[in-house]
Amino acid sequence: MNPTQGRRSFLQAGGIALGSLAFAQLSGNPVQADAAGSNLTYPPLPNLPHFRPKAKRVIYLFQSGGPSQIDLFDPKPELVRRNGQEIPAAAIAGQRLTTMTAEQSAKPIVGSPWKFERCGKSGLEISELLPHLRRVADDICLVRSLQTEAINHDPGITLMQTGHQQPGRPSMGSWVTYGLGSEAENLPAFLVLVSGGKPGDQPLYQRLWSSAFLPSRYDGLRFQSTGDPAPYLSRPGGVSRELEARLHAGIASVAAANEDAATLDDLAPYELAFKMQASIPDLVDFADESEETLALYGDDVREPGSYAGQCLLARRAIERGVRFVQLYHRGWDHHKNLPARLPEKCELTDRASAALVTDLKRRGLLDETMVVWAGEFGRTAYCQGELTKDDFARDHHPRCFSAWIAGGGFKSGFTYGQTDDFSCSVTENPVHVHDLQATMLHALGVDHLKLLYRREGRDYRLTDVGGRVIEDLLA
Amino acid sequence: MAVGVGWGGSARGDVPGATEYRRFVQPLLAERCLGCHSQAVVGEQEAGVDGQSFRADRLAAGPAGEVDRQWITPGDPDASEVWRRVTSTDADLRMPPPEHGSALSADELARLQRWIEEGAVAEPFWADESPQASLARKPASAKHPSSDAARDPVIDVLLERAWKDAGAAPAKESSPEAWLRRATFTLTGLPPTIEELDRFLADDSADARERAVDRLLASPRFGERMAALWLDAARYADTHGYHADAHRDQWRWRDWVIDAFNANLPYDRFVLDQIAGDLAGEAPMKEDALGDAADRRLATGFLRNHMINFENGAFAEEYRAEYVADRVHAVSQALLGTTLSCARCHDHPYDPITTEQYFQFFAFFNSIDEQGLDGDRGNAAPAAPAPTREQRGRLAELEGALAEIDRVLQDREDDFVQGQRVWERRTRAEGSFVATPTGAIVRLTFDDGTLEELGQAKPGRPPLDVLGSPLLLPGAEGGELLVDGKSHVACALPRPLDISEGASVCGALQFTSDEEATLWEFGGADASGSPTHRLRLVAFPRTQRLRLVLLEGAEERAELLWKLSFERNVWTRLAVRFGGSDEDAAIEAFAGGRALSLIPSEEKDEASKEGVQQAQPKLATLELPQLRGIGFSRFSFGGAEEASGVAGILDDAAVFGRPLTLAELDAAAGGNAITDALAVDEAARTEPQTRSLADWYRRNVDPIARDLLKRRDEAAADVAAANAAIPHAMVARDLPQPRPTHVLLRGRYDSPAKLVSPRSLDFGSFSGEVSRPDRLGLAENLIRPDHPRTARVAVDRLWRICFGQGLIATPEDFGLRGQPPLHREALDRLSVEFVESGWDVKALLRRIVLSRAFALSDDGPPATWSADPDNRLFARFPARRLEAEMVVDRPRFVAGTLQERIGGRSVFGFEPGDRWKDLSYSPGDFTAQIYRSGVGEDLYRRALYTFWKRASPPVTLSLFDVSQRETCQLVRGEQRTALQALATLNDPTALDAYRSLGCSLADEQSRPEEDRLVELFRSATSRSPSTAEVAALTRELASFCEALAANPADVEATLAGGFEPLPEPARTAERAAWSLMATLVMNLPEASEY
Repeated sequence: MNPTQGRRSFLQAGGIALGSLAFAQLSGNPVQADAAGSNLTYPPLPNLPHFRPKAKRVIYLFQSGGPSQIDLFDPKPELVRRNGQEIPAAAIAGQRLTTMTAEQSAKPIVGSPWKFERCGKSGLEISELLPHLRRVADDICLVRSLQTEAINHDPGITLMQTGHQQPGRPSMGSWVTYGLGSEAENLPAFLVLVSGGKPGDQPLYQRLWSSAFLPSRYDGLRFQSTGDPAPYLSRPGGVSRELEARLHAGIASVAAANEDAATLDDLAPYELAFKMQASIPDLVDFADESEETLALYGDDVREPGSYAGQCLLARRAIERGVRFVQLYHRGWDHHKNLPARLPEKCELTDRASAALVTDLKRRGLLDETMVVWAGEFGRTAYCQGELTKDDFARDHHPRCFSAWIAGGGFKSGFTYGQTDDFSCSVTENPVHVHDLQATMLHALGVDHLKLLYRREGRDYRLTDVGGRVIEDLLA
Repeated sequence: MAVGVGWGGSARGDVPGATEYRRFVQPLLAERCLGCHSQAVVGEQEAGVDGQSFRADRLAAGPAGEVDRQWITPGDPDASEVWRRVTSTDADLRMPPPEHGSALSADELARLQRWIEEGAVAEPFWADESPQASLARKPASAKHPSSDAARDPVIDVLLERAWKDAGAAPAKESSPEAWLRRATFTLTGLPPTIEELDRFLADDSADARERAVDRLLASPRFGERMAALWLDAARYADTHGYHADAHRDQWRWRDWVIDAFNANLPYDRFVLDQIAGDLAGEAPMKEDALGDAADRRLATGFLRNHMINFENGAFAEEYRAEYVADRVHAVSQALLGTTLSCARCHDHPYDPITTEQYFQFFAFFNSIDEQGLDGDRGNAAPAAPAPTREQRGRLAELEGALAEIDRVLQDREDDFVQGQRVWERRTRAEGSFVATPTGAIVRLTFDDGTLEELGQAKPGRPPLDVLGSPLLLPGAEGGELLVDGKSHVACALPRPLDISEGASVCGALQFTSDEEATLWEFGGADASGSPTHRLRLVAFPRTQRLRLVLLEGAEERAELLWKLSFERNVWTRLAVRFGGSDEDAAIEAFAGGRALSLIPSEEKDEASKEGVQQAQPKLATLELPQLRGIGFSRFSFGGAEEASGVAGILDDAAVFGRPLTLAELDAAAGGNAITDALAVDEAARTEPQTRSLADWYRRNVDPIARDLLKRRDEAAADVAAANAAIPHAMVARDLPQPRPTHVLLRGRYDSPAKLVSPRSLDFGSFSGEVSRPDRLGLAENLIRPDHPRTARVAVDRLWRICFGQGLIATPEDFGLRGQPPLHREALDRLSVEFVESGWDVKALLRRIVLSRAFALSDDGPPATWSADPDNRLFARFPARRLEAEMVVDRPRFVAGTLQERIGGRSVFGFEPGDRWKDLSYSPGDFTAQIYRSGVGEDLYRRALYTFWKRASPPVTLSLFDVSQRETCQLVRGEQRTALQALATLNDPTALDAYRSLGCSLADEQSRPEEDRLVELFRSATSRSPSTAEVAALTRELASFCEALAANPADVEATLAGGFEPLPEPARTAERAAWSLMATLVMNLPEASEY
C-alpha cells in the first residue's frame, strides 16, 4: 500500500473490517480462507497478463555452481575420441577464459566418461548420470545453446536471476509477482528454498531474490532450513494457540476503541500474520502426503533442507497458489575431482527433479507450471589441472551450456540448439540468458518489453536491453 | 505521467507562460519526444530541418531559456515545425511516429496550441540553473517578507500560498503530543519519554517547540538517526558483498558520519571531506567539537564503501572498473540527484550527458591506489589507521613517555661513551671475553650434570619437565642433550609472555634425521589450564623449509615459511626474532646469525594454482599483531607434547622478552662479531662494528643504560601496542601518477577508446571546469554556492527525512524525466538560504520541523486528498510507518534496556535461525560466513550498529525496507506486511523488551492498575488513552489474567525466552499478563506510526 494514499483509500479499496478478522475466532480452529481480504494481498497489475498465459506458476530449480553440460546433456563423441589431446586453439579462440586456467600450460581435452542414450519416444539424449530424468525425457524441453556473458559465479548467477551482472536489479521472481500477483491465500507470493550448501560450495545472496527497487513486498521469502521456516513465525516459548489468538484479538479490540476507526486497515498485516502461523506450518508438513509420493521423491525427502524435500515443498506451494518458487541447489562447481563429485550431485538431485515433473504431471499441474532446471554457466571441454587416468576437472564456460524446462507451455521431448564438436561454441539457435527470461515471461503471459518499472527516469525491465522470445521453444 | 496536479494557476511573479512551459510543455517533451530526440539518438549534429536533429532537451536553449525559433514560432502555431508535426495526418510525418506511440490527445494539443499562441514563453530547465539565478529572474515584487514572526518566511508563506492557489485546504494541526512524537522520532529515531511528554505539555511558553527542537538537535541520538539514512545512500556495510562476502572493517567511517551530524559539520565540508578529505589538509575546525569528524581522510571511506570482489578466476580490471563506476553512481545520485549511469554505455537517453562526459567524471575516481581483486583478508587497500579520539590521546601520551626516555638516554650519552671506553680497555686487558646477550627469561644449557638435576629449579632457571628418555652428553663447553623424536624438555615461563611486544628465541641443534620435526613450541593456556594457542617452529629438512605456525586449539591459524639449508650432524644455531628494530615489526628467522629469506606468498600461490585454490585453503600469513594478547606460559625445546620433535642434539636454548640486536643474535649464534670488534682499535673500526659495540655495551654491560633501554623497549612496545589497537578503515588514496582514463566502449573494461581528462558535470550554463584535475578540484566545483544541484539535493533530502517524501518526487532524478518540484520557489529559496547560512544542516532541519506543514495532521477535507493523492502539496501529514531502525530500537528504549553508546565495532545482535549458513561459502577460509549471536550489551545496542552482511542483511531491518546496501539507495519503502507483524510480535529482541516492560509494571503492585495501563499506552503511542480505550485495556488485561489462570503452562511460555534471567519471583501470572499487555500495546497499529 502506498502510505501517501492515506488510510481511507485502503478502506475504500475493500480492506478488512473488524468483523472479518478471522483471528477473532478464539477457538484455535484451522483458519479458513477469508475471501474478502486475502486475494488482495498480491493483486496483479491492472493490465496484466498482457496476453493469454500458458503457464501460471514457476518452479525454478537453480543448480548453482555451473553443472557440466558435457557430462549431462551435450554428448560429444569427438571429445571422447580426442581425449587427452590438446584442445585446438581454434575451438577456444576469442573466448574469455578464467584466470584459473587461462595460463595453464596444457589444456587437454576430456571426453565424458559417461554414456549417453536416446530416451523415450522423443529420443532426447541424456547422460547415464541422470537415470531418473531419462524416464521423463518426453516431458522436458532441452536447450543446449544457452549463453551467458559472465565467467564467474557471482555475476553469472546474478545475471541469471536478475537480468544484470551487477547488483541492484529486481529478481525474476520479484518481477513476476509484481506483474502477476499471486493466487496464494495466506502465503507469500514468492518463495525461496535452499538446499545443498557444504563449505566450499558457491555462496548465494539475498540479492538473487530481492525486489531491489520494486516494492519490498515482492522480495522472495527465504525459508530457513532449520528452525521456523519463516523468520519469527512462532513465538519463542511456544504459547498456546488460544493465547496467541487472544493477543491478536486484543490488539484488534483496543485498536477498535480508538475513535479514528480508520486505523483498522492497518490490522490487515496482523490478520495475515496470524493466518500464516497456521498456513506455513501446514505447507511444510508432509503428513498428508502418501507413502507412494514420498517414495517417488526419494528417501531423503523427510530430511529438512534436502533437495528432495524442497522439491516436494515446491509442489505443495504451487498447489496452494504460490506464483514463483525459486529453489537453489549448491555444489556444482567442479574444479577438481569431477568424476567423484558430479555423480554425487546427480545422485542427490536427479530423482527428485524427475519426481517433481512426474508428480506435477499426474496431478494435472504440469501444463500450467513451468519447471526450469539451469545453472549459471557450463564447463570447459578441456581439463582444469592435471588429467589422469581417473581424475579430471573442468573450469567455467559461459559460451554454451544446457538447461531444461518442463511444462508451462514449453515443448516436450524437444531439443533446441546445437554446439560445435567441442561444446565450446553455439553453432545453431543461440539462446542468451535474456532470451530465456523473455521466453519464460512470454509463457506466463507477460511481454518482457512491457513489464516495466520507472526509476532514475528510465524504464527498467528484467531483460535489461536485450531478450527476444524464442517461439520455437513454446508448444 | 501527469506531474500537473489539477490546479493550473500560475505561480505569482512568474512571467505568464513560463508556468505552463514548466508544468506542461517540458514534461510533455520529456515523456513523448525525448526517447528519440535526445543526445543519445540525435547527438551533436548541427540543427537543421531534416527532421532528425530536433533535440527535445534543447528546445529552450537560448541564453535566458527562450525557445529555439527553428522549431517554434512564438505566437504562430501554424508556422511552428513542432506544431505541424504533432498535428500532421500524414503517418510519415506525424510525431510521435505511430510505432512510437499514440498521437497527442485533444487536450494536450489544445494546451500546446494555446502556449504557442501566447508567446511560447520558456525558461532554462529548472535544475540546470542555479537557485540564485532562478530566483533572480523573478520580478522584485514577488519577494515576500513575512510580517508574522512566527511564520517561516519561506516554508509557511510559500506553501500556504500554493495551497490557496490550488484551492486545497490544509488539514488541521496535530495535537501537541503527536507533534512532539513526530519531531522526536524524526530527529532522534526514538519516541519521546513520558517525562518529556509531560514537560512539554505543561510548558505553555511561546517558544516551547523551539526549545524542544533545540534539545533534540543537541542530543547525540540525532547523529545516529541521521547516519542511519546516509548509510543507505553511501551503501555502507560490514562485508565486501561479492562472492564469498567476507568481512571488512569500515565502522570507523560510520562513526565519522555520526559525529559529522552531531558536530553539525557544514554540509559543504560533509561533501568535500567524503570526496577529497585526504587531499584537503588539516581540519579547520577545533578537533574537540568535531570528534571523529575531524579525521578528514577517514571521511573518504564514502568512496570505498562499494562492493569488492576477490572471486577466484575473476578479472581484476573488470572489477576495478566496477568500483570506479560505483563511485560515479553514488556521488551523482546521492549528492547531485543525477542519473549518470546510463551514459556509461551510450550517451544519456534523456539528459544531455555524453559518454565522454561520463568518463571525464569517472576520471576523478580512477586513480585510487587499489587492486581489482582484494579484500579476502579484511580490508582492501588502501586502508588507513582511524584512531578514536581516546586512542589518539592515549597514543600521544605514550609517545611522550617514549620521548622522555629518549631524552634521558641522550642526556647520559657522554657517560655511556666514557664508560664504554673504560670497559673496552679493561676487557681487552683481561683478554678472555665471551659475548653472551643478557636478560634471558629462560636459558637452557644442560650443564647440570644429570637429568634429575634438570628437574630442579636453579637460579635463573625454572625446573624442567623431561619427556621421553633423552641422554645428557658431556660436551666441550658443558652438557648437551641427545634426543630422539619423542623426547623434549619443557618449562613454565616465570610470567606469561606477550610475544607481540617483542621477543627472541635462540637455540642450537644438530639434526640426525631428515624427518619433519618440531624444534620448539610456546604454549598458552586459559585460566583453567586448558591449552589455547600454540606457536610452533617446525623444520622440513627435505624441502628445506622452516615453518612458524600459530595454532588455536587444533586448528592452524597463520604461518610463516623460510628457506633453510639443513646439514646433518652440524650445529645449527637458529634464532627467531619477533619485532626487530624495523618499524613494521617483522618476524624474522636467523641461522648462524644470518637472516633467512621468507618464502614469498606469490610463490605459494603459484604452488597452489596447480591444483585448485579452494581445495587447499591458503593459510594466513602470520603477523605480529595476531599474537597480541596471547600470554604464552610454557616453552618446550625439541618438540612438544603432541608433536614429534627433532632427532638430534640440543643445546643453549634461550628465550628473551625483547628483540635482540643483530650483534646479539650473532653472539648468541656463537659468532665473534663483538669480540672481533673489540680487538680492533677504536679508530680503525668499521661503522657496523662501532655501532654493534656501542649497542652491546649499553644493552649488556652498563647497568644504567641497560635499565633505561629496557624501559625504552617497554615504552616502545606500549606505543606499538597502542598503534596496533587502532582500527583501520578503507579510505581513498591516489596513485602518485594519475591513472589515464579512457572512454570505455559500451562501458566495458576491456574496450578503451579515447583518452579523457577529469571534468565535473556541466549543467546548462554552469561549468564543470575544475581548478585542479583531482577529487579536490571536483569537490570544490560541487560545493560552489551556485551549483545547480548540490544545495537543492541536500535540502530535498533533509525535507524527505522530515516528511517521508521530498519536494522532488524522484530524488534520484532531478533531470528532464524526473518530476519537477511543485514547491519550486520554496526549494530554491531554502537552497539559497541554506548556502548562505554556511550550509547549516541543523538550522535547516530546525526550520522544517518548526514549519506549519510539519505540524499538520492527516485529518482534513477528503476533497484535498482526491485532488492530490500523492500529497505533493504537503497540505496534510499522513502518519508514517516507523523506519526499520526505529522498529528495532523502540521496544528496548521504552523498556529501558537500550544500551546507548555512540559508535564502535559493529555488533552481532540476535538473528533467527542460522541465516548465514545456508548461503555462505567456506567458513574455514573466509570471515563472516557463520553468524554467532553476540551476548550482553551487543544484544541491546541501537540497530544502526548491527553487523551488516550484504549477502544476508539483518532480517528484521530487511523486513522493514532498509536498503540492501549493495548500491546507493535514496528512498525506503514504507510497506506494511504480515512478515513485519510477525517480527514485531515474535522477534526475541522485541519480546525481551516487552517482557522487561511488562514485569516492571506488574511489580508496581501498589500503583493503581489504571495508572499503569495509561503509562504503558502512552509510552507506546505518546498520547493518553480515551475512556473507551482505558476500558478496553482493562478488559484485555483481565482477559489475559483469566486465560493464564486457566492455563499455567502459558505463564511459563509467555515469560520464557528473553536474554537475561528474570529476577525473583521469576514467573508469576501477573508478570505474564502484563508482558502480554506490553506486547499488545506496542503492536497497536498506531504505535508503529509517527
